[in-house]
Amino acid sequence: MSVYSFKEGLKESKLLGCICSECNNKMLPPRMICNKCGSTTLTEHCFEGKGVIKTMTVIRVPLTRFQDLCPYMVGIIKLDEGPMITGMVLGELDKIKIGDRVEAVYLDENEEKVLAFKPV
Amino acid sequence: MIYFPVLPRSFIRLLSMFPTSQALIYFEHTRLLIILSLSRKIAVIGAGMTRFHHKAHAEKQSREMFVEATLEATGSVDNGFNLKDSEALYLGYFSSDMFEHQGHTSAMMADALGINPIPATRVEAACASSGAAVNMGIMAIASGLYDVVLVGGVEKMRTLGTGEVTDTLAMAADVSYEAAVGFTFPGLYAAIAAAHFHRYGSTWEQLADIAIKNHDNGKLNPKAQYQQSILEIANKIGQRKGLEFKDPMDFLKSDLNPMVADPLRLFDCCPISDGAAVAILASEKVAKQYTDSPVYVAGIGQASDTMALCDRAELTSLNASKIASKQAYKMAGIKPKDISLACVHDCFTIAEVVATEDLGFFEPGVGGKAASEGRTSLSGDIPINTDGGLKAKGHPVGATGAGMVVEMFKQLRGQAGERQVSDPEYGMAHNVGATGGTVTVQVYRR
Repeated sequence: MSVYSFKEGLKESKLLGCICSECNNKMLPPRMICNKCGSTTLTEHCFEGKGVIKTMTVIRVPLTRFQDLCPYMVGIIKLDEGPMITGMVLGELDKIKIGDRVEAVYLDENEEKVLAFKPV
Repeated sequence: MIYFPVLPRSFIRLLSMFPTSQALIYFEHTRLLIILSLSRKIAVIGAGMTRFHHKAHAEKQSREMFVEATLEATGSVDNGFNLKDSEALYLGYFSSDMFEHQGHTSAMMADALGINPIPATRVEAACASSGAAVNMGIMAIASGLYDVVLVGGVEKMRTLGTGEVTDTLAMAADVSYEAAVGFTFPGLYAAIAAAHFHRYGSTWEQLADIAIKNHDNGKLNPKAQYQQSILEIANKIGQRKGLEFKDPMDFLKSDLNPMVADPLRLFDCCPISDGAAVAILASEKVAKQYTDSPVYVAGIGQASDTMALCDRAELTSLNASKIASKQAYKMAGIKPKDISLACVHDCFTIAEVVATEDLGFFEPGVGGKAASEGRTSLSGDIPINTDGGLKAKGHPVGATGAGMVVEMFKQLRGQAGERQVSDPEYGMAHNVGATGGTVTVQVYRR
């Protein structure tokens, strides 16, 4: 499992991470070594993509390739299944806030899939 | 869970480099901390820097800035210093590749200084590149291999426009997972700020007080990019619009201070700067030839953390800052209350709040309040960023950690002029790479 497999997963609207066969730790994005127990016996795991916004911000000075979307929201989401993941946040500016429940969606942007979360 | 019960081989090798050192090994938060005392006493015998600035160095490449800083450093050595006495060079430069389309800048700097064939090594640890270079220079002398080492950093950033600089700095974050969804560097620190506000109830006004304080300090530093108070800048900008400000807070709350990434506004962010800084390190026995008032390295620390912010257990502190500073305190045999002044990595105002908490100056959650109460100002109980910090002094990424050493050298020798802190004994330099993926700390003693 690799960055490549994570990105390939996004193309199929899947949130692909991995699970440790030794300690059941779930990791997203996938890793080659378990970040809890150090085991290298990891298998693919598809995450449901539902969770809660832990923190977020509104980007008003964007990366050049996101200029067309500006202003846009990004945040860190704590998934119900354990790990936290970084994603774009969709919804109305000033309405969406820390603690809101969200679920993963997959945006087409610059010929790439971008992981995003929308309010549930 | 396995807590690495066996010492990694690299640590054993490191230990063997310190034949007379005492190693104290203990576990904390499931992490292995190895505290060493340096086997030889090491001193800063000289330090110098260019002004950090967005325009002043337009006609210079990094090599010219680095030479300029080095010549100021050699000029600061009390009994004179011949550059040929240098035995090794460690250079911090984050992104010569993107900014100048130039790699291999360590050999280039040694060449420009005319000190080939000494070994020259570039260290890259994002914004902590020269903090790491300083630590490597200290370790190189401690190993017994060298007696005199040049350490420094440089960044030539103004070759690119703001958009491209934003893209380049975002490379210090996890490009595949953070930048890929649109996170910018200010965005990541804004996320830390939002989490801090949410958890502790800290406020944007507290952040604004830090920007005001750092500009007040920068005003007293001839090397700072901004040598004006925020009120002076406010009225300069306001004049063009027919506005007059009596209180800097009115300006900071106005549209003239636009939002960059909520809750961080323009004046919560450090500027884009060109600049270089250099320090000359020597073993104690050699240092005495050069000066009667060296500044000693009392302790060092360094730690790493996950690349992506989202993989941290806490979003309101930088664990690498806590670990690196604990190492440095242990090595120096002191506590946070013994520190007379500190340069902390305020790439954004929230970063100063978090740093003053992580370094143990204040309890978690009260760093902002303490700043608003004036406790971190020049006359406060722990003056922070006496040189103006990254906010007002400027932040040529790779030069910042070495620039902090320049301030420590001046303050601890009583040569800081109008911004001199009264009778300091211990000073701390704290340099952060990205969102804390790297943190370096040094404690200096007069």
